[in-house]
Amino acid sequence: MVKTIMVVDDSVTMVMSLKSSLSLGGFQVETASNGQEALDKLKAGVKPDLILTDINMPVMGGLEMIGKVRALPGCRFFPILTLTTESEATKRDEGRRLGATGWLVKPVSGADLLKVIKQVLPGA
Amino acid sequence: MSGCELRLRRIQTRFLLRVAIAILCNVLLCVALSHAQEPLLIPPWKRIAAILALLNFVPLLIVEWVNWRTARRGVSEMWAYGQHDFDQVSHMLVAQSSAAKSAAADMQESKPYIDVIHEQIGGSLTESEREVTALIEQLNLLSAQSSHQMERITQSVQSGKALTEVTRTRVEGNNQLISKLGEKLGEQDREMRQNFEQIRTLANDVRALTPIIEVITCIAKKTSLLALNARIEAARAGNAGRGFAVVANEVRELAEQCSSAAADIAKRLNATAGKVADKMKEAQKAFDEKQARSDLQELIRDLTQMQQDFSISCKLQLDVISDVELGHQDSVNRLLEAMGHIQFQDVMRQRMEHVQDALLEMREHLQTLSICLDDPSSDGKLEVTFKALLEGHLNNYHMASQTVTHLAVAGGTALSDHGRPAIELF
Repeated sequence: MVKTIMVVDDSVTMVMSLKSSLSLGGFQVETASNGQEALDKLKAGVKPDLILTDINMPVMGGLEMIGKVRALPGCRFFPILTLTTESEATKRDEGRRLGATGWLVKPVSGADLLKVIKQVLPGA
Repeated sequence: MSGCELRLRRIQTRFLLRVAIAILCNVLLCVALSHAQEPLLIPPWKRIAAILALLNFVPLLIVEWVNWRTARRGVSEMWAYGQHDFDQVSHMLVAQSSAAKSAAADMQESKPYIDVIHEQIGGSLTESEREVTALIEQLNLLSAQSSHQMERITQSVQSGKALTEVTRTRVEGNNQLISKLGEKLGEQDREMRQNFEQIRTLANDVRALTPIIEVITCIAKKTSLLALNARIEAARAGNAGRGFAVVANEVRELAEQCSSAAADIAKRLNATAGKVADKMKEAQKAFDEKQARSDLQELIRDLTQMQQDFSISCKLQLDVISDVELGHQDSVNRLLEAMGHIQFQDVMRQRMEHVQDALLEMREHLQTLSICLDDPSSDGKLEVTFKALLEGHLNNYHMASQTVTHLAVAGGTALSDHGRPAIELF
């Protein structure tokens, strides 16, 4: 069964490049341009198998989104990876505390990204 | 009264005071000496002290007067010098004030300058985003085409494999068939040879019978002649030859029967010989066809060879297709790498946005400085300084590269920690 990944990033080029990379890896891709849009999609019934999110976004940032996603019913345990330019340790620790599964610092090669995703996503 | 005049007045007062004290001392001394009853009864030491005091009075006056003059001159020179410095400082302050005003006015003008630079950076970001988007679209098209080709190649691979398998199975079947056919042909060949030999033998035997038939025919003819002669002699013998005539007649009939039988046998033998000849021809023909069978065998061998060559060709084709498949996978991997490198555009965008924010911050601070310079009541103390702003940046960078650049240029110590690995699973 094809797995679905939700990509959350305010950068158009990032969303396009991630969508291409993940499609090449055999995944279906949903997109959102900020945390609020992602939350709305989840509440509307979109059920991704993994969320890949940026941190510094307008309207709602990634850390706030992670906290709110984990509070949604049925969303406590699926993996959430951050893909961000943010490399500062306190932000990482906060992400971990809020429920992120992993922290990736841009730029990440397509092969490494797919490798990490297959590591955290059972059956991928 | 100016400070200098005050100073002069003080010096003058001190001089007069010292002179007055000196005069007073001398007057007291003279009064003390004048009260003495007998001048000669004044002790010598008092006389000497009085003399010294009188002798010291004039030089003291002179020295004090000189000191006063010197001090007055010094103060006047200081005053003149100070007046000169003050004029200079005044001019400098006026000039600095003008410069400060000009600087303040120019700082006001920095706003449009910074705004232009800000927009230039924004324009560059927009262009780079547009071009990278177009690049990604082209890469996606390339990927789609490659995938489509790969689907076709996969179908070809499957068809090729199926064809190869079918060919291999048929070749195996054909080989078995050909083997059996060969055996059969061999058996037939042997049988044909045997039959041919038998027929040849039979034909020889039939041919060998022909002279015997001729002999029998000859005997029958002679017997008939003999019977004729016997009838003639029997007729010549009259009644006595009557019995002989009957025998002769019987012999004549027997000869005729023999002749007829011989003719019949000859006819049958001829027919048989004809049939045998036909059979011979057929056998010969069959034997000749054996040559055609050899051609057929050769054809079968050629066909077998063709099948093998076709199998080899199929295998080569499958190898080529596998190489193409590997090449496609390599292309996919390279495409993935390219997509990863394209993330640089987002990293660059965020760094440039930080630069834009810093330019706006600088603009606001310059406006504040300009206002401060323009305000004569300002005491020059700033709530925010460029140094503080820069230190604030150092502690708020998102990326390790920003921190590295900052420290390389401005030095300092970063409080933030960017030393963790780029990929970290919790």
